[in-house]
Amino acid sequence: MIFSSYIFVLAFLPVAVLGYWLIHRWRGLETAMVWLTLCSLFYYGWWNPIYLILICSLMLVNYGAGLLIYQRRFAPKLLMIAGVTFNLSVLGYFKYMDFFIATTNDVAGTHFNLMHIVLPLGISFFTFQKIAFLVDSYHRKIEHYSFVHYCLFVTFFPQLIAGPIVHYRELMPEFLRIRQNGLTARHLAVGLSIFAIGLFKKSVIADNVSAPVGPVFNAMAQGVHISFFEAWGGLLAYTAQLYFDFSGYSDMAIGLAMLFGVRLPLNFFSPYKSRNILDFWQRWHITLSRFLREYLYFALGGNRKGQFARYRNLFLTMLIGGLWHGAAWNFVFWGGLHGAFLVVCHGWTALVGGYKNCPRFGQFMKPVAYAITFFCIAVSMTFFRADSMPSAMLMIKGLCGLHGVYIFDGENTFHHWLTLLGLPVEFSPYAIRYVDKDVLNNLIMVYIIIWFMPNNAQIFAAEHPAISQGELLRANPARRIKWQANWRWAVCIALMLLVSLLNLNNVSEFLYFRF
Amino acid sequence: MQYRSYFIAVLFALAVLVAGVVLTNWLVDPLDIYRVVRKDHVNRVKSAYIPYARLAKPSQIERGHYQRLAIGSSRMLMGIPVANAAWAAAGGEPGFNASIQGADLRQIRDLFEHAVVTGNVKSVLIDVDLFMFNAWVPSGEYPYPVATFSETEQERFVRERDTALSLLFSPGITLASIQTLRRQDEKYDKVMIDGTTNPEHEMQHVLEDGYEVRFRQFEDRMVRTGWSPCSDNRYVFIKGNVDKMQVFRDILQIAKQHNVDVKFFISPVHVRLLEMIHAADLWDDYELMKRKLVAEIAGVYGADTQGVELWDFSGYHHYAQEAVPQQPNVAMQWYLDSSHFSQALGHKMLERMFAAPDAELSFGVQLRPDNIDAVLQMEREQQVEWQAGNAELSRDLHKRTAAILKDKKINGTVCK
Repeated sequence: MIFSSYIFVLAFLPVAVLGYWLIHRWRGLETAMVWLTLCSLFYYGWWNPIYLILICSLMLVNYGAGLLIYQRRFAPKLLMIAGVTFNLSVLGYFKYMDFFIATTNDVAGTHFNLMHIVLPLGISFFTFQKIAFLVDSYHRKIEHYSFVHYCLFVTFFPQLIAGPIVHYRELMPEFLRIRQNGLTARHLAVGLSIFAIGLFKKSVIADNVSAPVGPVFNAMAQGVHISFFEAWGGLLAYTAQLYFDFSGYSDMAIGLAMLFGVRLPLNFFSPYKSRNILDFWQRWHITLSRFLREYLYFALGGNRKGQFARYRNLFLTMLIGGLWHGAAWNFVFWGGLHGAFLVVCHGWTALVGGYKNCPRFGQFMKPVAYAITFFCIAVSMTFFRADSMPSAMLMIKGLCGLHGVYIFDGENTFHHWLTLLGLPVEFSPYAIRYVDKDVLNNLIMVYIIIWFMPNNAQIFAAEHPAISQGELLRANPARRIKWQANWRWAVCIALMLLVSLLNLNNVSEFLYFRF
Repeated sequence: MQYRSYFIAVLFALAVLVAGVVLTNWLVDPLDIYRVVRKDHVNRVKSAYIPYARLAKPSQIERGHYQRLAIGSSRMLMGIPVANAAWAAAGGEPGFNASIQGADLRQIRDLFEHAVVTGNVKSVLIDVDLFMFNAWVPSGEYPYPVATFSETEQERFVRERDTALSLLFSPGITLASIQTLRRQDEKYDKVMIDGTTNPEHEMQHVLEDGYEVRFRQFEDRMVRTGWSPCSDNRYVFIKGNVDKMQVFRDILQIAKQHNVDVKFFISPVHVRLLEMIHAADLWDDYELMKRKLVAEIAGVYGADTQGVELWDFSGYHHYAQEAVPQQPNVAMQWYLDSSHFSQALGHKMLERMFAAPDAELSFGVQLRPDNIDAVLQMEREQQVEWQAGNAELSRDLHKRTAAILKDKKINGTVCK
């Protein structure tokens, strides 16, 4: 039951929201939170009820451990380390066991059978939340313990499957705030509007722009040599698909939480408008970056032991971040690549000093910086999407034009221009098998939206629908398009919902569900 | 505006819009399924039908209660007129052309089963060709929900729900409704009410392009997209667990069990296509296919072949040898391109199969175990005779086939 499905939008969500509001009115917040926990467990169990046992057992163990750590009754540090290790072991077993066996077989020449373990939905996300809870308990950052609250913190369905990765200490106050301020129509109006825009991004834009992605990457996986334009078409389509898929999901999560009167942390803020890779990681999967920084990078020593240690720790953090995304070498490589980008970025800033001495040159270099950053992000996405390292390398060759730069017979003007650019262009009836003019038009349209339209946080800035969005919004304020509760927006949102509902007939699952 | 009023306004506007879309799709009926109203200049011309034909045909079959069905590929779609007196007399009314472009045998089988389960079909025509039996070419189930014999009540409910959702509330059909309302000119009238392609529309296009251009376009595309450049994996009837003849067997068994009169036919393709089949070293497979079809029919029906016939209209007969005009706006009588024949020839085939009084007896032959060797031998002799009389054209066709296959190999097709 994904957010972009009829069963979710037309059945589960109305029942969950209506029940929550009615129970809140008649029985109070605590009972409404129990209802919401039950709804969330039902939502999780819909995929596979067996895994309810896993998530409930993990909740029991972690809550108990957290409480013991907080109460300082028995070796809190040891308990915290044991708890973190336990959670990582569970994640390791489900997510990395087959990867470990396959790697062992490759390296040592052994023939252990793969276990083909089914990855429980969202395990990477809720494991991180539980780890954060244990560490926060140790540091006494948690003030109030309640098992129902803890269960809701872990299972709260808007963020259960694909984030954002929230802290207990930031989610619970949101619920408790309802006690003071109550649930109001504002929550419904803003929540529904943000959800509608997110649903539109996912079901209309992401799923339509993805048309060439499968054919190009599948052909590549089968060893077909993908030519220059096809490779770039497929890659740019995937880069846009991932953007709208994740952006749509993040908006939907924030909108859904808002329907229950709760704000989630901002997780996505126009990452392809980043001026450097550091900026990118402050805009892309913001809560993951925050988790990695607070619980991994700082744990490794951060920048306390000089520049080299800082770069090493950054690189290691990103390497592990890559592995978190998937149990395969291409994800590790992707993480390593971003680690390297970050090191280069920090090094460059240290060397040039951010053009402080020459602001005019800095201004001139700004578009170049945006372009280089996007280029690096897009190329790195090859490793994110490819099935394996060899097929990723095939794609890279295609992107470099090593598999030929072909256009159709008769496109002489185009040939002339490309030749002027120094490209070794040839005519072929096989020029573009997967990327046609429709795809090109779609790409132009979606990249205009990506680069020139405001994001949801900016559009809804006045309503403060997300936590910790202040700094990003101050640096990137909303300009022309601002949401207001009026007829124009009502019709616009209803139209978006209509088109999204129409498109739900053929949507795919969220890409981040796989992680 | 208050937040509360805003929230109610969004839900109200959404409800109105959803109802509007469903009602529009139902009334405009771009796939000709509900047939509530059909008005000139409004929705009579189903200009958006063709891209959705695969979605439309199962529902059209189910709602039409047809006695006669034509199920096959584009050859059947363009060339077999349902309004044929001989077939109507033998099979009853109404009739419908349920063929789909590029249909493979599995899809034909699924549509046939769907028709038997949901309707009261008595007579079915099925078009088979060499490429439908190539196990190298992947085939899948029918891409939209169709009825099966094993369908439970719950599965039927899900199928009908999904189909209704697709037909009344999907982005494609909504756009199709808009396109239908916008395009009501005769030039968009591509499909007739009986499911057959509008011949006038098709002929007009071919005439404008010129037949030679059309023939070459089709031939090049067929070799480029349909045939592997690697001779080792160009054609095989069984590959792994894929046995295309099993699908044919399934069709025979369904027809036999449910007393449906079924006539298969091998189309009268133009000699140029036969020569290209020869050039690609596929002639032996072509003959083997015919032998296998005869054997399968005998295997399922035994000596009593009442209710099933296999007709062969292929070969180097005078229709197939019709000269191809080199300039535009000169018409051919029997062909649209090397593979697709005109409805005039389709009428002749139907008259022959359904024994009309004025049928041309030398055109087409019913294949049986006792005549298959003789028929194939005669075709081989006709082939040699034609090649001798058309040496230059034959050489050109062989050369073009070889060149396309070679080019295809250079451009990345991996021979496994």
